Amino acid sequence: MTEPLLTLRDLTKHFPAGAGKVVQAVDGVNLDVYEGETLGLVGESGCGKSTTAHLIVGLHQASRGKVIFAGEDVAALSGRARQSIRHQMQYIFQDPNDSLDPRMRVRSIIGEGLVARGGMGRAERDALIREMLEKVGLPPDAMERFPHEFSGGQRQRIGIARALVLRPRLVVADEPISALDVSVQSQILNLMGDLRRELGLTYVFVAHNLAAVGYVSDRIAVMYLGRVVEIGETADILNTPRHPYTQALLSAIPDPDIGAAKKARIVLQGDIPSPIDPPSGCRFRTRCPMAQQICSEQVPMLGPHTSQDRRAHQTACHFAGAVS
Amino acid sequence: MSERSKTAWWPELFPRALIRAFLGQNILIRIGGVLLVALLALALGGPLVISHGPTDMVAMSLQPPSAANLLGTDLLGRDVLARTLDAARTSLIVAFCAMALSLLAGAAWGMIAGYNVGSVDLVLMRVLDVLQAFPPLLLAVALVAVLGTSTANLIFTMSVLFVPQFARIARSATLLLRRRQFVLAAQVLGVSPLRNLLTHVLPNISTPLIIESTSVITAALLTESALSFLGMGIQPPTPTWGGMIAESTSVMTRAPWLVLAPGSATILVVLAFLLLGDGLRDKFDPKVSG
Repeated sequence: MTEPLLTLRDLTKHFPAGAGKVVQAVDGVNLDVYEGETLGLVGESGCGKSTTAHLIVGLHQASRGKVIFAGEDVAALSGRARQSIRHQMQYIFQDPNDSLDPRMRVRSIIGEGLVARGGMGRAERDALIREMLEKVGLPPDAMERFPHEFSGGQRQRIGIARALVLRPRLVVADEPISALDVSVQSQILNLMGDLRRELGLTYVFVAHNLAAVGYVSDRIAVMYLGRVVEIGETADILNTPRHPYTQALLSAIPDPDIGAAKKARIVLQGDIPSPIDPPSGCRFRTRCPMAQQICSEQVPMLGPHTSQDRRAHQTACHFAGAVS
Repeated sequence: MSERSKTAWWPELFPRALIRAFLGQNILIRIGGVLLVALLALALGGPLVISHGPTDMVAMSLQPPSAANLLGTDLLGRDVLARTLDAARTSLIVAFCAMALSLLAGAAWGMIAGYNVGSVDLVLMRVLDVLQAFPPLLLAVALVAVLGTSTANLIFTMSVLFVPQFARIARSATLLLRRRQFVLAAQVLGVSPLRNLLTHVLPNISTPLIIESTSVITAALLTESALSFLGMGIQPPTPTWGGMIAESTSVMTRAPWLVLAPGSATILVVLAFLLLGDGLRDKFDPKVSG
């Protein structure tokens, strides 16, 4: 597992915002995702994590940079090769009320990707659909029913079955639990974990909830205003965050342990700046408690780069050492 | 038709479930539906009951309504009732064909525009703007003048006229749908854009299109009448409502039934479709029915 399954290189997406302005939704993101791991992608709304997820599976075209899957630059492929690589990357959507066509039966919903891929008879498809329904914990008679006959959690199971029936290698899950009741969130997380082990999947798990991401992820990347500010093993990020933004995010998680000493909460001032006109240098500097002159002049790079291990804990902050 | 044969086919034609479903609809759909079914039955069944053909000269000209000729006779002594009912069939068929054609073309046009936001959308919609910039009747007259007067050309002309209405509705509904997650999901699954439009977008925009088609069919009926009145629609001796009114304008004061029969027939059919359309709108538009 030396070569990453998915690599994002300088991935950038700028949306035109009229009057010659652009929204810098994603700006120069570099990420490596290794086979079999779960990479959590966190950040507050508007930080570009969903856009990044869309870029990975091709729902948006990158303005700059590359998506490299299993050694292939996805944008450079065409026709059949591209189609085949697309089927190896699947997506779990946020809102199961919106992601299932209300006029389709579950059989057609889950079978849609199989039909699009072709080369499979109806009986063979049905067998795969039935098997997948069982894997996600739904009864076989669900096939003939419509999405509105299911609860939110069950609908998300259908969404998961639809993505996994194609036997993808990479699954991008875009806030897969944030639209669900709290009581079923953990069920879905556990199901996704079980399926990952059973089917040998690799996940990119997008969420704004650090606690949920910490529960499922091997590594976590924290995004702020279109850039990755910190990345590392889950334990490192949660226990020894180095970026002031990550520290602020973590301090906002309520601690359920009543006896524990009250931790100091870092309250950030102001709102997230507009991605149309982001701050120069470090994008976090306008809200950072330790911003200095250099922060407005130089863009901090993810570092340190001393280690050969691309999976090492890296922080994009001029004062990363001083912070921790 | 004897009483016995009536009871034999009646339950077949209208199964009880259908009747019950119909009675559960709102009042506008019920009135419009009954009116429409009655008019259709007259238009289709009328020629079977009335012995005169629409072009047979059966009596003296300009006879007032009588037992033999329920709505009187026209300038050439033809039975006005027979002509009105025959015209109903022609008018409804022409209007329906024009509506269906423009529905097909408009839905495709609008979906393609709405799905390909950007230059494709821009070009397609500007073409519609140009089309709509002309007064509709003027455009129809111009097209018929170029193409020549025939029933096929009339249908084609009217369908061109109504494409923009369907296309705009299809486009705005598609614009909303293309950001829905189930449409995005199909893209990720590798479903082709055409297949995506047909399986996900079209079924989910069909309701507003069906509602619009009731108002387009009334517009088509009226346009056909107007064109026939101007002599650019269906050619005599085939009767049409507009044509019948046109023939009778010179004797309107002496024989008002000549104008009243096709005139009220037009009004009734248009009213039936409008009521049905309003009823469907109330039924399906969540903003109205709540």
